[in-house]
Amino acid sequence: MPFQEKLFRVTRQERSRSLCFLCHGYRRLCGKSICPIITKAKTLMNLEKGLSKENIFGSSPPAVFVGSWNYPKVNAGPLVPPLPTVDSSIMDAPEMWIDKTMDEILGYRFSLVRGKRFIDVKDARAPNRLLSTFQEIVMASKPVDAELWFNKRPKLNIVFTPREPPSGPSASVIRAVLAENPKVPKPIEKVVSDTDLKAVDGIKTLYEAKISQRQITRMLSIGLLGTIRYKRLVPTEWSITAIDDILGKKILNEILGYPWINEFMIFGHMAFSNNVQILLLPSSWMFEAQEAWLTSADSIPSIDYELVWGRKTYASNLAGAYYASRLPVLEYLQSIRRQAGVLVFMEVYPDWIPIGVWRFREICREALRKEPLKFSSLEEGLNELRKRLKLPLKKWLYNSRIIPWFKEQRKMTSFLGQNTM
Amino acid sequence: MKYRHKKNGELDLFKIRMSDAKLLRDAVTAISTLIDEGTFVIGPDGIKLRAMDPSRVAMVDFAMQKTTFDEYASDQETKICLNLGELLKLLKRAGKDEAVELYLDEGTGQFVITIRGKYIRTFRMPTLEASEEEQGLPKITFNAKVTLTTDGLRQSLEDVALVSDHVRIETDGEKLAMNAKGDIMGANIELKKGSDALLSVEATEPSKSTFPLSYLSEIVKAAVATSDIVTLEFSNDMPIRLDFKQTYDGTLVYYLAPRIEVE
Repeated sequence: MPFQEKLFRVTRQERSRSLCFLCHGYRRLCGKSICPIITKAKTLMNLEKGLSKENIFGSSPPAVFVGSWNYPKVNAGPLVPPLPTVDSSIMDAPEMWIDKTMDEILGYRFSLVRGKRFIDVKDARAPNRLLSTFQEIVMASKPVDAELWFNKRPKLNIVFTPREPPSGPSASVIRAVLAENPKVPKPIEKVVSDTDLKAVDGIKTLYEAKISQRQITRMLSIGLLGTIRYKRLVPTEWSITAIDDILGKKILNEILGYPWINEFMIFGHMAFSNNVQILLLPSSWMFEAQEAWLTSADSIPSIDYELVWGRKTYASNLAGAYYASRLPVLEYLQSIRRQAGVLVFMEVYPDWIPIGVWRFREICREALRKEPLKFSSLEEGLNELRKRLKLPLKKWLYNSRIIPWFKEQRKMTSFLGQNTM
Repeated sequence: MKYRHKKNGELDLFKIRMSDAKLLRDAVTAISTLIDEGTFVIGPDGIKLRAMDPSRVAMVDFAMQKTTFDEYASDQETKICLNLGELLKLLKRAGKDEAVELYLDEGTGQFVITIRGKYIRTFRMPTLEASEEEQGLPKITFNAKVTLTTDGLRQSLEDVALVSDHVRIETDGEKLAMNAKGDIMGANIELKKGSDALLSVEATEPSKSTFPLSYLSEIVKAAVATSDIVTLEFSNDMPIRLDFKQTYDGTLVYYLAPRIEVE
């Protein structure tokens, strides 16, 4: 069966939760005459002046955006800041943003001009010149100088979505030209030219060759992966979560053979008005993620979980956040060569502006880089969590499936004779 | 019985032939519901596999006696660890009434599967490192023993799965009851003596125990293809033993640890 990208769509629950608390994406329903987020965006948009002409020349991070609206005829195109020959790579590199401020990140994003063009997702099988150019940009290892011609002056229309970071002004692109021959890493060249390689296998190959997750995501998105019969564009927001899931599953297969950790561990980190706490239990692999938006006193966390065999269905309650938090935990377990039961608690505070699901991935990674607190009992661990979470622990536990499982489910090892295990 | 002779005159470790691959395929399917990698012990009397699932909540105990096979030659015990998913992929290639032959290529360490049908197909797959220690069986005194149709059990579990993720199984020696309590819904199933699905029930004392449906349903679903009749044995808050009666000379038994509710 070819790779099923539609599985990874943004769910309704995810969208309504992740958008601006007050207006959920519809402007000014909050009653204020000016949307504070958009105002902020405008002040950061000091480069709109530089966009009077109908073409721009700049260095793409390299980045590309594929929309999901109007699927399968989607808006796709590169992101290019009107700044030639600068190192723009940070503008599309969430893995480098953990110590940046929200203003800095919004600043990066709003300086990216987005060229767009309606393209049928199946056109990836025989790309025309424009799409080929977009693809070449994405294959590059370093920022690429590119020139884009638009049908009119790019306009700022800020859209916040649950998964991908926002971008700056956009306009229909009629022509795109690279000002240089981009340098393409060997593994990328190999995977792209192999028209019999399945998307999932290609993704694994690239990951093993140490190609960044961001670049793999972009490549999947712009239709560079998969066997020739099934090649297609994948909306950026779907590809972000698809890659989180595929890489996670790959690591999961590996860690199932490792021994269990032997104590309770807590990791945590807070950044961008998001608080993530991770509890590891001495058990086989199980995973549960809960996400709470602390918009009111009676917030209730959403939850998804899996037992040792992993999920067979899409984690539709948390969707993007589930897979984005599962991957870093699996990477950590792989690095210490251990298996564990995992609970991730994610709190989102009201001053968060939705700029993508990457922050859960990066906050988890940051948390797991720290030394954990270790405990010998679940009770001690939960007591520590009580201090670290703003929402009462009771609410998290009421939802939890893994905690009761851990407490109540006996193991066969308790019923064996002494001569075994 | 034909042994395959190697160049130096030694005998092969084993050589097995089965004229209908379906038996083997269904057995491997049933085992693979709990484990991804399994160590088969191929001995003079037949093939055995006993293993716990990665979470150590359930156990499978499988045996296929040599009389099940059309040709069976093995004069010593050989342990072979295989990836069951991969093995299953290959076995699935055998159609109805096609014969399958198994042996170990000692030179390369590869497990060789030959399917003989309209044409001959030979597959080779790597063997993995086999675990040295032998898995022991649980030591439990069972107070209740219930025999029912596998299909009846499967349907009952499907019913209770609608409301909860665990089920309490109990008997007083007269009937078998399955209860599930969800957050807002509940389900009760009773199989009385004399009902079509229930074949026999006996208990030295009333017994009940709770089990996770995520495991129990998967086990029953996997075993249903191999067996029409299942015998359940359990006691208060002890593991359950599910013995699926096989059509051939062999056993397919699962153990599943209970869930003990703490208030």
